[in-house]
Amino acid sequence: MNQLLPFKLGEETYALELTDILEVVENQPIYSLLGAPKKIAGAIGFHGRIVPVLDLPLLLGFAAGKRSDRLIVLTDQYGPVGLMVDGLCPVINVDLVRGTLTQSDSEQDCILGVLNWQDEMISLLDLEQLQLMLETLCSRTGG
Amino acid sequence: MRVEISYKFIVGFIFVVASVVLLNILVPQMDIPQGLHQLITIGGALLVGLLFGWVFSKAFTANIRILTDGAERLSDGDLSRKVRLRKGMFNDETEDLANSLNLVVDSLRNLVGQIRNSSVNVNEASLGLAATAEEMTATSHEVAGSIEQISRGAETQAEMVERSSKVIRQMAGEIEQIAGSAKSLSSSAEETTMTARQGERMAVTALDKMKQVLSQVEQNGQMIVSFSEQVQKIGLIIDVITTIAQKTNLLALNATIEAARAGEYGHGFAVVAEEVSKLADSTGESAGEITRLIETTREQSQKVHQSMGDSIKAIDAGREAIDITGTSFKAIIDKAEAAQVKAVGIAELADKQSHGAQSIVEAIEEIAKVAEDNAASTEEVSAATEEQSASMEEMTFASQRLSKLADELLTSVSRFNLGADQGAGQP
Repeated sequence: MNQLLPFKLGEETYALELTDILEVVENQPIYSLLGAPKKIAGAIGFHGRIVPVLDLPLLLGFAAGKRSDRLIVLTDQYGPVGLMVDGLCPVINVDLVRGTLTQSDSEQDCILGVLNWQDEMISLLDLEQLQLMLETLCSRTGG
Repeated sequence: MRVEISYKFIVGFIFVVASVVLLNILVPQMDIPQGLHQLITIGGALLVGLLFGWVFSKAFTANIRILTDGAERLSDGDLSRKVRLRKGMFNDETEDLANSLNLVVDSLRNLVGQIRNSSVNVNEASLGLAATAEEMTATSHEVAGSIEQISRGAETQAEMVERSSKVIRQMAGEIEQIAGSAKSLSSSAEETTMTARQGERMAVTALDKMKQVLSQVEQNGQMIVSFSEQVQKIGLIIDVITTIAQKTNLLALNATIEAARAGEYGHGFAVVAEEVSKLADSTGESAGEITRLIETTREQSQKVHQSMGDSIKAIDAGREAIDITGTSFKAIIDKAEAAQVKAVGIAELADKQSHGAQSIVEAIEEIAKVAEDNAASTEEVSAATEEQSASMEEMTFASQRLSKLADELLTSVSRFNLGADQGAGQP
């Protein structure tokens, strides 16, 4: 039994496991970082730490739109890093072990797999791949 | 010296006697034989007597002849000369006779002159009279024609008067109708006045009601405004509640995340967090619903406010209209009262007119009578004129006869010779 937090990127629904999330924060002022790529929206103050914020829809090639007030802050295992999303959905409980997850063939779209939940296609975000993309992004920028 | 004939005879006798006596004295003294004395005396007395007789009778005879001549001239109609006796020593009765004859001549001359003048005058007058009578005849013919015309005119007049009478009667009827109409008009005007007064009172009442409605609507408007303010406050509170619900939702989400990281130990906690999340969601939904309701309420109260403004405007317009209506009613009352007064006046006038028309009818009837009388009189006048005309003709004839008579008279008188000075007919 896994708990997922679905969120909207454009018209599509993505999801993250709750165990990967440190906290969801709201209405945090985002300080822009000088010289950072556009896909990095800036940084926030998070319990005394400075945490970078990724413009996830822009990173994954979605059109720029109205972002949600809420940011998803991932666990220390992945940064820590804040993710901008287009909207949050209520937590769902699914059993990923029972093979509902369709494995993705692609290595580029950061999708671990796709699951069908209540006639809705939810893409499970591949955080490791995202980390790789981030590292690539940072190294390319020369940071 | 006047001596009457008888005295002359006596004087002659005395002279004869005296001569006899004288001769008786003278003759004896002469140388004449005695025998001859008687003869001579007688002869001498006879001679004296003859002498005196011859003298006296000659003068007397001459005078008688003159008188006879004068009487003959008179009988012949010669009045030109007077009888003039020879002047003798001793006048006698022949002188008186001559004077009387001369008086007769004078009288006759005057008379004839007067007759002549009068007959001339009569002739002229009768000729003038004849002319006048002819003129009068012509005039009376004309008068007769005129009278005929007048007679025809009188008939026409009678007809016209009849027609006038009819028209006037009709008019009198119409005037009575007018009087009736004016009376009904008066009562209508009175009713109008009463109705208009009622209307005016109603307008005043309506105005008061309208004012009440207006103040109520204004109160309602204020109430709606305060209601809107309260709703606005509710909206603010609902915003706070919404914020709280979102915060709660976030807290519940983070609690769920924490619980998930805690694994099996956090399971119960996760359940509570889920419940809290659900509560926050339903709170948020309710708050959203309340917000929508508030929005709807606000829109509706705005509409109510707007419609109240419209109502106030409409009521204002209505008040103005009622004011105008009241004024109109006052004007109607004034007009109706004036109309009533006028109608009463018309009715009175129509009554008077009706009386007048009645008088006219009576007068026209009298005129008709007079016209009929006139027609009759003109016929009489016509007849009289004809009679007059006949009389005039008779008069003409008579005057002509008179003229003839005057002529005859003149002719009769003309055999009297009045001499040159009396020819003109001066008396």
